[in-house]
Amino acid sequence: MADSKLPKSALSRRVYLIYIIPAGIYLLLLALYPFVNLLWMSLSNVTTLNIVRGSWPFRGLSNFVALGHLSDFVLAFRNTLVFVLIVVSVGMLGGLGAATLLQVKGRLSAVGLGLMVFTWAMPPVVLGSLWKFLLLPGGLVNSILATLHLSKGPLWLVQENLVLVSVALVNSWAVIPFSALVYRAALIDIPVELLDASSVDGATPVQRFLRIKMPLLLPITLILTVLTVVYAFRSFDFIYVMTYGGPGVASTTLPFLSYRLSFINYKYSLGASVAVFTVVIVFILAFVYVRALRRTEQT
Amino acid sequence: MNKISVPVVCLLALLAAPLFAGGQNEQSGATASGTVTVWHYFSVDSQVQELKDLAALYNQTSPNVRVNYVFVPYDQLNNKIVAAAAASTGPDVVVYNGPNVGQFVDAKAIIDLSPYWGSYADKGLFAPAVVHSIGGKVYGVQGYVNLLGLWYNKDILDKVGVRPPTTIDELTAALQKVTAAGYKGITLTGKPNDQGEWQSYPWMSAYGWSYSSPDAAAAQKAFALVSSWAQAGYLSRIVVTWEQAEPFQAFTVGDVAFTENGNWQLGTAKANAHFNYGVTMMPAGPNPSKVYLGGEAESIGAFSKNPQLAWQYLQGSYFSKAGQLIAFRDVGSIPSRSDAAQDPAVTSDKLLAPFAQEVQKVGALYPPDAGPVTKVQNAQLVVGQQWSAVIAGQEDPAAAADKSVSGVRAELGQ
Amino acid sequence: MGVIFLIVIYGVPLLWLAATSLKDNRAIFANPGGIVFSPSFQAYAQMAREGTLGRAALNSAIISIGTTALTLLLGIPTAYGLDRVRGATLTVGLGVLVLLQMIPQTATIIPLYRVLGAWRLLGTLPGVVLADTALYLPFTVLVLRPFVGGIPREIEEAAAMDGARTRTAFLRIIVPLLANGIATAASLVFILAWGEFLYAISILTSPDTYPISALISQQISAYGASWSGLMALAVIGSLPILVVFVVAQRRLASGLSLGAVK
Repeated sequence: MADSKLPKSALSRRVYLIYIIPAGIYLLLLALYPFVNLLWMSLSNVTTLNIVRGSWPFRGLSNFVALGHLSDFVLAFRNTLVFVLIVVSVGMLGGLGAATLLQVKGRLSAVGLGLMVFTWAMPPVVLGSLWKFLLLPGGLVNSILATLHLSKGPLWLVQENLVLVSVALVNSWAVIPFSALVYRAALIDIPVELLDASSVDGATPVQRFLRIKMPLLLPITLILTVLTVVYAFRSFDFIYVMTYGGPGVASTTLPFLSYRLSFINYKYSLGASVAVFTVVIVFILAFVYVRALRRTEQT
Repeated sequence: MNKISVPVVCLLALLAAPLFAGGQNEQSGATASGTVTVWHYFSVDSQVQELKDLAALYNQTSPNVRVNYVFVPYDQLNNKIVAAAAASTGPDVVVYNGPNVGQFVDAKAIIDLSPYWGSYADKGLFAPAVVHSIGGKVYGVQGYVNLLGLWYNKDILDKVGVRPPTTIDELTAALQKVTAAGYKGITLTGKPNDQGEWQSYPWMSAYGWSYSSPDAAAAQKAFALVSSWAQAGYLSRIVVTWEQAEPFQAFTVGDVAFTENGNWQLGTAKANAHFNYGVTMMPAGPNPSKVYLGGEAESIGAFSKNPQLAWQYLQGSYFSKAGQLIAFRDVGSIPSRSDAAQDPAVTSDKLLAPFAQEVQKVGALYPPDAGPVTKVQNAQLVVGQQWSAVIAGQEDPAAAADKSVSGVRAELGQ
Repeated sequence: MGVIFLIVIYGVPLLWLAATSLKDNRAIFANPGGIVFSPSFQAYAQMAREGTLGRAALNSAIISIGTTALTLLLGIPTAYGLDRVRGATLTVGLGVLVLLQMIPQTATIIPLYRVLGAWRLLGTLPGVVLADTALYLPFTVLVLRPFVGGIPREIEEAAAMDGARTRTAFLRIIVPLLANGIATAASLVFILAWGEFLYAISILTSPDTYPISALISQQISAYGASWSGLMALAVIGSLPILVVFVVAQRRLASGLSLGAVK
């Protein structure tokens, strides 16, 4: 039997690199340039006076230092961590759960999947507005709670300790279909023979799930985690539509703060530094992911 | 070969002249032709109608000019103008929220209108407050004024035996009576943004607040007022998630006694409010309640290929008397020209009279004259955030007042 | 049973959404919790009257199809190349892709304007396609890569031993095996591009090039909001996505990849 590793000749490496080049050039021009632009903005002093024309005076790290003194920044950082935690855990567990449930063939599954995808396809402005109405004092959610005699129902989007969680849950609900779709494709890819063989060996569904499916889903889970973490860290639309970072600044997260600083306060450099800060945080997390990935792929 | 006679040659030359006169985009009157591209953020039916009617008005005298309206969402317009300037492009005319003239001038996205405005025959009819100039140069002019007033449900007030309040104390008493009778009290917006601040200003100024000398005691009284309303149930805390549209939509249901809202809701009121309603001036406190003179300004883009034509459009639409009366009729906007404001159509309108009175008596510059426009806007946002926090019950009035003062001072460099 | 739960959590809000599209503003505020009401088809009638929906749907389709095609064209080879090249290049590549995903979209508008302006693509649909592709390409590569990873390298070895060049192996063998991944990625990108709003509204300068996402944004303004219009437009505007998705999902087959090794 042939050696299972392809010879890593320089020739084959170069060939693979050629496959990457077109996208590389494309992203260099249309994605990396804006990124470098953002980075430079965070290190300079950019206002409406010089954002279009004129030079950007270099300021080093002074913008980042200024962030430390901004009370909104510390709050936004904390809020973002909470937000990401909720969206990632609920989004991914919900997605895996949904994908598993939807494995059952039949019309109900098709309807469920269709509804989920239809929801995910809706623009955040629509879903956010929808939930603003559902969460009104006299809205559907509180009406249901009242009929079940559970409680009068709080002001979901007003109470300081609830507002961020409410928006995060709505965002999770909107994002579960994405993980569900990806997990579903991965689950389908699991060879039926493997599952059948284990059934013959007497494995219970739970054992099949834990021993066979989960390990095979690991690479997909890792990438989904990274994608969901990135998505949650930059999630802006739901907060924008539902609470505008409020009341006051209670539901302000880093992306919202960055937007507000740049495009409402016109403090472009300060806004850019918040964005760069967020990028650095996620980058650290991504680094951890890649390390974990390389370890899994070596086994 | 026949000689062509001189008269024929002259005739031919005369006939052919327009072909060579560079007549593609002639500017004056009936022979003007070309396209005027106008960027705006209007999508409410009545405002879209106003745009159409203004174009029709202008086309009466310049039938060969096509007015091309391009909608851009309110929150994207400024960024799009600046981005376009970065790419050396942009519209002929931009209709935008007046105070943003500062950012547009900084980004060199609009032209200095002074040459046009200076020789404009009717310029004397415009109040200084609607002519936006920076560094002595005119950059934008408002074709109308939009502002806030206190709308009330006349049927509810009659049933409960309350007259439209003229002071804040009267209003609070009315709210108490109305809610005791089972109705809802008042709606307004508590969003932590420019709209929240816009609606907070009458109450803040009623207690003596100003941006040029921010006073914590004044802010505290105003915050305490609105906080007590929320506490007592006169005002629902959910308004912190509402812009100005939703409070008025709630008002049209018919079970709310008051709403602080604008003249532009005229169309919505006519369509959806199936009860008797009226408007009164914003109730006064120890001081009169000042009301910002808002509304859109019009400017000419720096990269317009045809500024002369753009100016003709503005003269024939927003800045003309007939055009301003169209804005009044369609949207209820108060004309910025004194001759239009004194037209019988305006003065005899009972519903909109209080708005016109406010313009005269308590109208205030928006943003207030406390420093450079961009800085003042940031100071206003601080107040907007505190206003929202107080209504939500998450900040007590004293703390909110202190934060407002320190925030405003920091932004304005006081 | 669990599926019923899913149907409720996603069906009830959607039902409410559809109901709202049939209520006027006043009715929505009069009874926010209600599903019983007298329906008014005003929002749909207005859409039909204005006649902009058809044009906008065409624009949305152009943008979505163009973006999906370009993203797949660039992304599939990249996912393949990155996965197979292993080593430091892979690490750096993935890192860059994740990094690029973190840029706030609003911060990219002004630089993109400069680039697209220089290429004279401002105000055009192809300009939006280019911008959207740059936005979704990292995502596509990241999603496709694990699917590539699931294809054992023995397959390429076998092809190499048969004398096939890398490119032939890639086109004739790898890509078909990626069918599930491609179908998934394509549906995701199509849906994302269909709903993409910020680049569309910023880059396009003429209302008859506006896609549905821009029309939706017109329902809410600083001066007023038409909730029924918003919901109605969202429902109708999203139907094509459902169709595309159903078609793509039909192509998903089970246990394709390892069948070839045997």
